[in-house]
Amino acid sequence: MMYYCRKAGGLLVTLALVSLITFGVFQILPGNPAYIILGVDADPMQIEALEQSMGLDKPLYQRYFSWIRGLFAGDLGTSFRYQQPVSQLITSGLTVTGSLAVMTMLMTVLIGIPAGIWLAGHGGRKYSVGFSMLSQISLSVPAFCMGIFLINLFSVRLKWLPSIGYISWAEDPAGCMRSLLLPSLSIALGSSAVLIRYVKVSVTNQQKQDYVRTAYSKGLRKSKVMYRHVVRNSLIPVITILGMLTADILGGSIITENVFSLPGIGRLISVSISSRDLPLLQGLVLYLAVIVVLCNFAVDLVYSVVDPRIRLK
Amino acid sequence: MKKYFSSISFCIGFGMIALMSALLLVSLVHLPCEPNAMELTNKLSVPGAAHWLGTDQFGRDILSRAMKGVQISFLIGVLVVVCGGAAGIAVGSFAGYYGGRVDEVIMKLIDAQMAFPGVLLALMLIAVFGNGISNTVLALAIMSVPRFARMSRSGFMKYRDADFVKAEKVRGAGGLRIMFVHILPNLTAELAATASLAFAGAVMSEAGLSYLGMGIQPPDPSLGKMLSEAQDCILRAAWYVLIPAVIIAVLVLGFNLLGDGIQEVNEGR
Repeated sequence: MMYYCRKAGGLLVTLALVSLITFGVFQILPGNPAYIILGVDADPMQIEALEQSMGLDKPLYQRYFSWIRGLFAGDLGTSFRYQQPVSQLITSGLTVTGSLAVMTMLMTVLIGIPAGIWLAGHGGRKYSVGFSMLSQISLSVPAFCMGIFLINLFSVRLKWLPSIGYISWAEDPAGCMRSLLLPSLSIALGSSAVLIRYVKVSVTNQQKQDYVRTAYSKGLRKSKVMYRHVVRNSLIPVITILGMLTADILGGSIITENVFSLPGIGRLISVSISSRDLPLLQGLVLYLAVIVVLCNFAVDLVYSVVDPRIRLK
Repeated sequence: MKKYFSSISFCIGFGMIALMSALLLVSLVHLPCEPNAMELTNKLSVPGAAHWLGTDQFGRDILSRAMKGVQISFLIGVLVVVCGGAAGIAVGSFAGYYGGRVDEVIMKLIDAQMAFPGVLLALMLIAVFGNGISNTVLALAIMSVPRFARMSRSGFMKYRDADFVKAEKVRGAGGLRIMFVHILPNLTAELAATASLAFAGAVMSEAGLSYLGMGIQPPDPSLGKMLSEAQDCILRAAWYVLIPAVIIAVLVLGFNLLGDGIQEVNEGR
């Protein structure tokens, strides 16, 4: 119980810090935000009205608390660019980015875990050198580069998959999968390389443990030792990596969505920056950061359930 | 230095960086064409004698632009590593050496910063400060602080109770002197590995930012910007996409391999 209280306390502190950073960065904006949004030759009356509606005439701490209060009430202000509530825009963006992230995570796990186990089991030098080159290459080509190559191959040359655009799940589930396949693959290639490495190291370390020798000496077959004992134990630390990969995948989707013109959070971010739509950007940044923090918290909880020893540390 | 060449990763990475550095040096002395000069009669020409790597949709020489882009990538990489490294080491060394409350506060801040995924923090800073080379460097340097801070924190924690540190304390050396004169030199190899990986990360993030149109501004050539321009004419000139993509990949791969190689040798694998 103590463990969970401490974890929850840490979560609150981190969330508070994240919101302070997000709020603070936008306060160091040089000059008057109302000028920046409306442009230098705007009407003074307009500027004054905007200042009032943004609450710029109030002290800093009041603005922070009213922003936080709005956050809990689901009211993050109105986007200048779209003239819509920010929370509404974020919700519609999240459905796209969320499906992209889930699909990428599935691909990462489906590629990463079996490949990592296989590599650890067939630990010849020939394979491991070949693999580490391959994983280095997929880590070094940025996801958006990978995206352009995939478009070139599967959409332009082979004409198998659509190159850009998004079809929602409600409209056409198969079309939705098809439209997200290339974007998620371009992110998953890099993140699965990370996962494969961790799985491989973790499985290799477990194989050296005493209980594995015991299992062999009581006459169990290799496959049984691997899947009954080694793999189960070695996947526990991998849960932590999945938490870290969530941040990577969300970060990757910011740029990749622009490559594939997907109407998600990443697209909204770049639009909000180029049109200087600060309330929208602030809301988007905070939402993404909070999602990452919550995912990592969930991972910590799952970890402590799977491996209760961690609670004692 | 010699021992590192026993690692395959280090050798390959070293070779790739040597290749890119050679390209950089040549570009500083001589560019085949003026990178921003447009030849509107000669758009998207295929690689040939006049333009070794062809021209883009504005008739600009791709080789010259790519070489200029490499210059900018190196400049940004070096500046980000120097600034981010200095800040990260300063923060991490205090956290690691003093421990306790200082450590808790610093690490909590670093953890909070790491909640901003990928280029998000850099994008936010660029939105606030505006784009251009110096703001891109600033944003990416802040982004690379956690990496250096974590590394130096664990290094300083390892050495803070070492015998040579105790001996220095007995001799009356101050905290700063022990930290930066006595402990820091022991971390050179780890720092080199972190710097190399951070360099790769900076080049990759800069390419991403410029691809979105947020980093380096036109007409200055940058590899990321070239990619987004190349994507527009992917149907007519597929080879154009390859050039910036391969250069980015070789730069990033080279520094990643170099960093991994150093780590491998340090850990005695």
